[in-house]
Amino acid sequence: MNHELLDGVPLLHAVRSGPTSVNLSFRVGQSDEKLAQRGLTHLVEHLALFPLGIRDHHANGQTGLSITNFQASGDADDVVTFLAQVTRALSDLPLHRLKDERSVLQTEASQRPGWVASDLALWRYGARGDGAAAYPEWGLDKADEASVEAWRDHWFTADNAVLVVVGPKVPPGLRLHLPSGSRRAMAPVHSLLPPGRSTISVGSNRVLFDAVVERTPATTVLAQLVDQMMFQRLRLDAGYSYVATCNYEPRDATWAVMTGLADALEDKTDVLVGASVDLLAELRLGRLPDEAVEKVIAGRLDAMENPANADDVQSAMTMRNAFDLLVGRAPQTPEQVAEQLRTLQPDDVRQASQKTFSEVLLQVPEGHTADWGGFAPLSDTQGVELTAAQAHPLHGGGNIECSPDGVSAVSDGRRVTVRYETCAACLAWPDGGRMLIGNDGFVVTIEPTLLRDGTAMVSAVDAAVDPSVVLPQPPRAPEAIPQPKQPARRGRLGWRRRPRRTPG
Amino acid sequence: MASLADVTTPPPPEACDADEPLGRLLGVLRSHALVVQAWDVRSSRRASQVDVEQFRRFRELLVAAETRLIDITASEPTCVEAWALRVCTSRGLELGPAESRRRHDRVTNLDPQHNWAHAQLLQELCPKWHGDWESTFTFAREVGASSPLGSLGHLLIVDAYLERWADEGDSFMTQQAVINEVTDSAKRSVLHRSCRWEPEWSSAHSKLALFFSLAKRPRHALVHFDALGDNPVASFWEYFEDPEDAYQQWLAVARIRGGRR
Repeated sequence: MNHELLDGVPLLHAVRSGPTSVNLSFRVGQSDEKLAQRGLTHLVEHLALFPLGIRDHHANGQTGLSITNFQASGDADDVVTFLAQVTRALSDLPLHRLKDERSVLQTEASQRPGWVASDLALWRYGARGDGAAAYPEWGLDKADEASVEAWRDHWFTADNAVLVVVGPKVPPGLRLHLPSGSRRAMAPVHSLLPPGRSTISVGSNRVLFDAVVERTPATTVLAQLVDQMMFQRLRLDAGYSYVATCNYEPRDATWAVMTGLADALEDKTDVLVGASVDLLAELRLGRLPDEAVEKVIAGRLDAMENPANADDVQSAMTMRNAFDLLVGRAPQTPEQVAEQLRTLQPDDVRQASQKTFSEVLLQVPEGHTADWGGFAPLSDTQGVELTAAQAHPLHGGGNIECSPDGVSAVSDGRRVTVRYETCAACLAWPDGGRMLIGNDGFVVTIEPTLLRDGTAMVSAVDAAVDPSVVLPQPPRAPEAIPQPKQPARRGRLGWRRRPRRTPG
Repeated sequence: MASLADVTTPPPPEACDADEPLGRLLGVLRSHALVVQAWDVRSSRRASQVDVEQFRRFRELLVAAETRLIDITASEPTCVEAWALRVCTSRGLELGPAESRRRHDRVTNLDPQHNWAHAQLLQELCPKWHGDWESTFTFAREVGASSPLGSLGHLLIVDAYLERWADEGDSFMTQQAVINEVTDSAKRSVLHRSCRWEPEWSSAHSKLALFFSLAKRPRHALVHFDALGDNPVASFWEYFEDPEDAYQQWLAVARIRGGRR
């Protein structure tokens, strides 16, 4: 594996015959965006690819949680041209396309199914880090030439990038045209979950779980075992699920996220929840037979050491090392990985399983529970009280409480508070409606039409909220604005942490 | 490097009942006690007559049982008694009829003649929980058809008739076809020469005594009252306001009209 600098960018080359693939990665993604910046990375990615026009070879971009990739494959000339064009476009963004690409992205968002694990991320992290990725691309409307260029200057630099070339050789004439900058470490984001096992009831027809695990050989083997067990139990044995899988995604130098997903038809969700709780219990108790663990380890070693796979192993390792380079983890050779696997004992994997599944977040469909299985339901209210708050009664019941520090929505003994200093976003409609979202993901909605002194309250909120988090929204249809005679819609009162998509 | 998540080392998993055979047995017994206690709190009344605090405590006790049982079945998937109890906790926790069926399937894969588990599932198939009479009677007859001679599985049909009586009154109990079906099931079970005493034996006679009393067949009823002797068990008699009084009255009727004083 070669490692050199090309125009200031670390270059990793994996030798493979056939066409050449390149992957230029930057250490930036959706989890680096604040809510008012949501979509900026994606927008830069689109702008960078625009000058390429229609290509007759494979070329694409991907904005991930913490990495943004530009990929192409073809003959040597194709990839040389691709990288030259993309990096030139990055250093000189085609800003005349800004409005059109915003519109393209908004259309893409309306067509694309949501991120499957978004609710897990939202409850684990609130509106920050991976949780931010659960929100719509709210920053697009506000994105102007200056903010897009500032985003590019911060993240899309030679010092925050790595290039992987997989092919017979590094094509001659390969050049990158990127400004210099700094390597951007991942910001620390703390879990909002209480210790132990937790559960949320949201969505339909699927069960998900996730756990943050240390990046060790034991957890990678564990994830593969869990994947096999889920497929065997939920699909092959019981026939409940079409999808039954467990994914392992490294997230930074130390941690990875293990995410399980199983779907079912409506009439099978009861049993899917039941069988999933049972499976998670086995994993928490470390009920993994030696043979099963050893089989996975042997399978991995076989795959790595089979000469027929050598090229694939090498390119997969190179991609992994490129990621690690960006997040600050030491690269590994296939031999080192194999050696770690060889010394791994079934007990190591069992211990990893016990630890992982004692701290898991389980998502069951709305209308289902898992408290009966020992999973603590996460509260949909925080109970944080503001000092010196004034209560304003809401038509239809409840109060909005205002203080110089923030606002609370109170109803049926439940209280949700957003403090101005930890307000992640304030959606503002021309009719006066405001939706304040705290860093923890909790939401307070203010509808002036439902408050006697609503206009004054909205003015007070507007004066107190950091203008950089305010997101002006297009006008709402008159029937979308709540009126006093109608009972207030429950969702508008604000305990639901799920972000609402803005109209249009 | 900054950490992505605030993960502290979790405490080691609590010493688990489920790890050793004796621990498992104790766990099953404790869970059984919790389930019995839960139903005592709830009472056998219809849901509309149970107050909020009773429901809260009922659920709390069932969760205490269920969480133990989950660990036991996870450690030892062949622990049939734990799976059988989980058919009952599934109903009380309202996890859905399909989930109760899944647990019942786990029981029958290990022990097709687990009549206690069959009776638990039958309860849930009744209209008072999630079901309807058609599935209740179908299930009772299926269990009967698959039970060997002498097995109490033949008497699940009596449970079905008594549940229907509790819902709709006794008008259908005197129909000859109904009486024939129950008489036949008694002959195949407690009255069959291959029937051996087992813990559910008294309940079986108790419910047959009740059925034949309500069906106005005192002579048939007396056979089962006699079998119980001085050791009656409550069983379905609990559907009366005063089970003991009802039992004594029907026993007296059976003795007077059944040909013996």
